[in-house]
Amino acid sequence: MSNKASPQPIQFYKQHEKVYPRETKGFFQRLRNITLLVLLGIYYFTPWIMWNGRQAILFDLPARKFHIFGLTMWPQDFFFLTLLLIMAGLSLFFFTALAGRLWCGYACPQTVWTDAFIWMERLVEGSRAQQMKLTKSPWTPEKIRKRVLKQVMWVSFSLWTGFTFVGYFTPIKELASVLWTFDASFWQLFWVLFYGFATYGNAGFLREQVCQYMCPYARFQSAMFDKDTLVIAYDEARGEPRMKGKKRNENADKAGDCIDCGLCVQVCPTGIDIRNGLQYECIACAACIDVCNEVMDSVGKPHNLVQYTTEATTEGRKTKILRLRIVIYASLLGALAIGFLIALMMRSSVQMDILRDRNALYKVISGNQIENTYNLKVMNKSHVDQRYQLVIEGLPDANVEMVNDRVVKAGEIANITVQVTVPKDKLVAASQTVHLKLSELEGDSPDSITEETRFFGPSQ
Amino acid sequence: MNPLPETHAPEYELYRSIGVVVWVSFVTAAIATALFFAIFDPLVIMGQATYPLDWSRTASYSVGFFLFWVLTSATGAMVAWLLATPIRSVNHLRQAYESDDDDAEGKS
Repeated sequence: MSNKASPQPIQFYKQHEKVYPRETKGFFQRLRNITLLVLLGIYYFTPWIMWNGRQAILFDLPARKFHIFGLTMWPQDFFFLTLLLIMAGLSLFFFTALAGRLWCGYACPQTVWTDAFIWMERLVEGSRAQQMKLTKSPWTPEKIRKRVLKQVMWVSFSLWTGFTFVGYFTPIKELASVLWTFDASFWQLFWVLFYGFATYGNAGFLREQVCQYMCPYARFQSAMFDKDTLVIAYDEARGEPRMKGKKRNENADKAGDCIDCGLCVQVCPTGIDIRNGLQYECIACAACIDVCNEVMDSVGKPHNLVQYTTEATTEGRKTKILRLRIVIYASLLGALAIGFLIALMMRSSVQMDILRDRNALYKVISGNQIENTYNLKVMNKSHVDQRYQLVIEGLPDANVEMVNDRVVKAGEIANITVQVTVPKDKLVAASQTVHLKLSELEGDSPDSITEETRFFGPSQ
Repeated sequence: MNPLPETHAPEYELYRSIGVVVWVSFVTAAIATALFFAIFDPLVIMGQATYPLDWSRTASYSVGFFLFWVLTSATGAMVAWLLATPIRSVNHLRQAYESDDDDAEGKS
């Protein structure tokens, strides 16, 4: 009666509804849980690993050097990071073409942290049905207790995530102690809070909306898919016509295997119905496969009404794994990986650029001595202060003098002037190719570098 | 009357656009920051700056990142807004319709 007195306004727009994914157990969910735990473990544990009395992985931005176990990378090594990023991008292409959205379902931080948040939510508020009931219920003390507890868990987890993130850039033990004594610098505190806030916002609040509306990868995945790509699909031929209840009992001979229980929709973290076909919202978490297999067990029908399959299989062809695009992605990836390893192994801890003195090609000293001057730009990429020795190859009886020889600090670029003198009668041509070899004198395994330049003299 | 399943309320569409612009520009700003500061040492830039600044490297990286983010967000927001704006002005369309009506009257 009161409803008649005040008619409800007609809703023309869909309101955003929170998705309450139902918990599933099964093969793929076990696999995912293991992957998620391993990935979270790596993230939270890595900054605490020590190596030779120093944090093993430390991107020391204030000092402009990256420590990766025994390796020290300088801004001059940015090339390696670029290569690594290109390889990461290519791997994404490769795995997407091969097995669909493995990245989304198993490894994307968005999925990993969202699952962690959902796990905490379930721990406090219970199952899907209990959560939905709690949302509708009035604010009883019990509801307040549960909501506060959930928020406390979420916020602490987010702050710990932010703290760990900053721990990759500042020695984490030092950071822990300055945070404990409220001595952290403004920017340290800022980034802990900022990253914590971003974690909370993405994994606690936005969740599947990040994948659906904000992620470009979800939209352009179709460019990497083909008919032989592994996707999660509903077997329409076997499942349809779906029927349930009384209708199913009356049409037992016509009914498909799908009993239309709707569990595949309830477990979906993005709230879609896999029976409508491949959709860009699907993050390939395989929850629908697990739950449907359980249902098929209970009604005594075979598994895999929803399964990992390819479009080719559905059409009755054999799935081809070695396609042109797979071969191209794989060989590019392989070539880059080999190149990266070789470059890393050949990476010298000293870098040298030779600039010839611009004032004169050569000078004649005391009648028969020819002198050439070179300006060396020497970069010390080792992690100790270095002294260097320079020899010239391809010029017999030459005398090498480093005019401003000095200690070059770790990570420093030094300008060193070198004078090379040689008796005139030892020169074979007016201009000849020579090699300058610069060798380190300090450290456990002194490195060296050889660069080519020219030596000029009077015409013969 | 059932709403179309894909039709969200206008304010939701606005939040969505903001989310897309902010998130995509966040990623590009992060890449720009990494590239820029891999090549330039902020302390060297400080020494050459028109206005003398006394910032640590950490502060410079942070400020640099947010400058890039503001820049990319502003570009993204402007592009999104311009693309969503009709090509022809309403006035122009109205004039076109009115002249059509005049033609029809003249013939009858």
